[in-house]
Amino acid sequence: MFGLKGDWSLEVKERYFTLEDYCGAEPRWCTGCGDHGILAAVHRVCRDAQLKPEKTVAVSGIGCSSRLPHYMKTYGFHGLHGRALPVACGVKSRRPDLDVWVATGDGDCFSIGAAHWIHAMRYNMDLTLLVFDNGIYGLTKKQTSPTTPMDVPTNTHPSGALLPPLNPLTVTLGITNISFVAQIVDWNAQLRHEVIRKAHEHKGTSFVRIIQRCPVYVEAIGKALQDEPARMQLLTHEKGVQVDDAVKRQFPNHAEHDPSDIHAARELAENEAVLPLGILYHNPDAPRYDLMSAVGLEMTAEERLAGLNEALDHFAI
Amino acid sequence: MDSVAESKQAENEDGAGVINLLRRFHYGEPSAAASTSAPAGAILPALLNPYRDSSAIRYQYPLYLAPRDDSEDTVLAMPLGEHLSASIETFAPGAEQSKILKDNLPWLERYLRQKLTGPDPVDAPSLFAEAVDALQAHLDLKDSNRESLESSLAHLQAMVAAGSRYLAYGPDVPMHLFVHAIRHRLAPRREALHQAVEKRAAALESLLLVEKSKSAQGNEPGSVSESVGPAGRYLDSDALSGMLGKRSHGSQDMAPERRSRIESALGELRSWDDNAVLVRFAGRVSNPWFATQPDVDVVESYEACATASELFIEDAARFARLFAAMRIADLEIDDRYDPPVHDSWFASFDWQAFSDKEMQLVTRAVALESADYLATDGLPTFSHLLGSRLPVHVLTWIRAYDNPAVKPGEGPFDAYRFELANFGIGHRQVVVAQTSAARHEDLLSGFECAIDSNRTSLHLINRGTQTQTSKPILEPWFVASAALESRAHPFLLINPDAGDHAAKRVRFDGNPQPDADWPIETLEYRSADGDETTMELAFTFADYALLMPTLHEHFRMVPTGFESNELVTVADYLQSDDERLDRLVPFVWGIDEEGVLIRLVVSRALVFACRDRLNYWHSLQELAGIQNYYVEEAIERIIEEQRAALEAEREQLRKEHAEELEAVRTEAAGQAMGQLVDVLMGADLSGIAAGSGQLATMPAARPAATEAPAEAEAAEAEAEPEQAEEAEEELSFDEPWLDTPACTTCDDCMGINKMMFAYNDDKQAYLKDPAAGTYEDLVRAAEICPAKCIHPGKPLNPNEPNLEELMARAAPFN
Repeated sequence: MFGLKGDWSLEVKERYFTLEDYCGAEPRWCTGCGDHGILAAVHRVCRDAQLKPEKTVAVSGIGCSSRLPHYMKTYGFHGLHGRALPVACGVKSRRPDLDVWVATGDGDCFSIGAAHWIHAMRYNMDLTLLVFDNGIYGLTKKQTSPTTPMDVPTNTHPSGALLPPLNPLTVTLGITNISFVAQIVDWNAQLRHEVIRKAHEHKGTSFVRIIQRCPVYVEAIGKALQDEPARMQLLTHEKGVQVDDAVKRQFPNHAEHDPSDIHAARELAENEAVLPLGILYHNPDAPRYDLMSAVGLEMTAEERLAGLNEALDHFAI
Repeated sequence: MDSVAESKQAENEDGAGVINLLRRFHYGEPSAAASTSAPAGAILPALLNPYRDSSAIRYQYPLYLAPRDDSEDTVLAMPLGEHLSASIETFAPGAEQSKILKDNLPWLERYLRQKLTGPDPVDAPSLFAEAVDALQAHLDLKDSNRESLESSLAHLQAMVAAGSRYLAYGPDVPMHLFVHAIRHRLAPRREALHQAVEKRAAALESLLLVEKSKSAQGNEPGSVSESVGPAGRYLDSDALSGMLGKRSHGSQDMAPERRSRIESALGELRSWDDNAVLVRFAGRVSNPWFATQPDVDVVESYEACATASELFIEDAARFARLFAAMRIADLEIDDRYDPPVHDSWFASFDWQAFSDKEMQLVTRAVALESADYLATDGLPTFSHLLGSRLPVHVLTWIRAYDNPAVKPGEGPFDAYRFELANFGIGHRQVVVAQTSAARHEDLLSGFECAIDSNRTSLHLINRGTQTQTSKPILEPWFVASAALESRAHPFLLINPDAGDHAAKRVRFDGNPQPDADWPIETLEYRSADGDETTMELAFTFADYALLMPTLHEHFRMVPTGFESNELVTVADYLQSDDERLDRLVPFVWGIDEEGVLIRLVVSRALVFACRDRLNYWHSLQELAGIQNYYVEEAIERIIEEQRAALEAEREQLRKEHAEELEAVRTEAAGQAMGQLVDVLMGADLSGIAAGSGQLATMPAARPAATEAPAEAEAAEAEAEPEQAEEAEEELSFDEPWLDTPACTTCDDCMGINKMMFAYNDDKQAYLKDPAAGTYEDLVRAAEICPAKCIHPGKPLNPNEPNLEELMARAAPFN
């Protein structure tokens, strides 16, 4: 009424955070590593959303990717190899008020962490899952990972991998109750920022596979892709990410794809010749396990005892 | 509360007693009034509940008052928030630029709002500088962030121009805005006037100088050498003087009366003392701020209209002398002054003779008076002022719920309300502006219109300040806005300068939802089951009345949880033509300070007042050309005419078609007969089509599609004209027939008459013998057929009983 909007006091920021408030230690990744850009994107998304640093948690496993919590001035948990997701799910289920970021890699998530990956996707708890897929075990100095391409020689497979690499997108899209699946490359800042921002805004497990360059061990993979834009396809749609013309020029292949169409998403994922970039699937309404597991968190000890006693009274004589 | 509980218990479980009690209150029975409870606590009309805490609402005040600049197009005032964001857009249009400042702009705005509590305008640049320092202290940024914020803030600070002010909402806002508008309009013109006066004075002085140089005094050696200038010492001034003294016939002295005229005009121009007063208020002004302003004069008076007229005439007389002198100067400079014509003209030169431009320069007189006085004892002087040609402005404060002409001891609804706006309109040549102080653009447009037009103007202003209670539950801005919304104080601006017709004179656009009786808004609430839901509510005069503590005697609370279908909202009640109207009890929705929805039953007196307001609103709508009965009648008439024309055309076409059909039939019948004759005569059989009891199919009728959209010609037509339907001829046979391919072999028609219907080789039905049964059989079969493939046509036997009914039943199948 009166043409007035509601409460504007929400727009007043009592605490204002700049980018520096989210920057932790100086990153020690190699120069040219794609991880720097991803870190910058995460910082920017935190600043734009004005997240409270004390209410944000970065959880990781083991690998170059998993150095991320050290470089953020938020709470963090640098855990065991492959176990980033169980820890993150644990954090979220007991502290649903915290904003959880998960940094994991192709080895950490698709190999040793595969079981957790499948179930965490199905749980669909509200966290942002960034998989830094460089196609190699980098921190441990060049062993073949599930996503290493066949023609890449490594220390474990000097003549190249024997089997075709795992396709993480088809696997993820095949899991029930997924709600957000996206893929980006680390070297386009705007696309990277927009997708990570949308992933963070989505309420549910946001799976973002980031094709990340490792300039030291598998420079060839990144270079090959960067030299051949025809191998990548930018997904456009009003429900997807909106990017400007500069991005559209860098990835001249475009495809119109509705993120609510899972079948089309699966088809795009299956086509190994062309990498889709953008949001493949987005379902804002999938049920979230963190909402269910947070029921009763605010009960006091007395209330719990009372509840237990009431239940046991059914059996007491 | 207790009395309601008691009466509820006394009167029984099913609530019949409650509704009776409330109905008795509605009709004004005193004992019912005593045994029900008036609104207690802080109950607000339901739609206004979100505004209970105004600190969370960003409404249009405080205003940023732009400093004087001499263009005519400046926006005089704009809301604070708008000014800040518009300013930022000019130097940082992108989303990423000045990000820190943009993110913290709301904090800055809130700081300014919290500081702006006083009733008077405050110097904007200094307050803004304070806010800038406070922001930097609050954020406490480091290094590069701090520097970038500093530079953005410096940019923004530059846009808060020197001389601008901030104005918070208060009861003196209209006067402040009037002074602001006058300064913008009048001050530049006065300065131009100064220059014009200067120019003319200088011109007159040079005329006199010429004369002086012709005189003997001027020819003396001393003055001669002086007039030459510094090089005068090279000349022999005595000789020159001697030469000049011998005058020839060429030079002529100025006529003495001309000279004296010029001298007196010059004297007037030089002695003109512009006391810089731009506006003079007559009335009772309690705020001392106005007296401190050099360009404002306050004259205390209990008869504001009369005093204002006197003040104007006084000022006008002073200006008359100045304007006369200027005009004389102009004439003399061009040597066009003609004594026989001009002397008498200037002898009686007064304000009535001012040109429009001259009138604009005179100090404005403003009469400040309460509406109560103007409508009662002050009426004669008020009316006299409105009818005079004096460009005096009357500013009057109106209580939207009350009747200005109320006598002491009378209630506000005892008499029909005296509408001062209509009184103003009745004086025909007056600028009438009925505005709410909550809408600064409306106030200012009324003031600008009045100032520019040189007419008497009447400004009826509602400010929303409540004096009957020391702790109003709603801020005055919202009360004033509510008065506008509820049609208690509708917006109206009449400018007689714009033309003779109402269509040109009347501006109505400041009203919300001007087409509707009452504005309809959505209320979000949680129902008893906990579901969040909405309902559409109208905001009526009765809802507005709930804001006034003195009117609480017209409301009674309905016990919570009580439901009855005899309780209807006031808006529905006013529109209802239900026969049970006398059983219905009207109510409004309220919300108390706990956020609980309550119904409040409304007295009949208040409902009558609502009807009265609605009636006035309708008359204003009509004036503005909305829901104008004449227009709608004209539209209806045109639609009728179009429809009749269309019908006639259709009839004509139908007739023609029927005739043609007949012609073709007879022709075909003739052909068939001819063939039959040939056969009987032993001619070739091959030409006959093997039929199944049907005549040769008729040629399909030409679809006579006539589309004639009836377009309303009236320009202000609000009603949508109906589209004329396409007049397509339906295919319709008189003979009964069965659409065999559609048959689903269900046996239903066989069940009715085995002789009439039979199956063909594909086990689909056909009409074996239409004469083997009655028309009724055909109709029943048509109705029962699931595929709807039986078409009864017209009855073969006209003597069959009940044919009309049967044909009516058959109609959908034909």
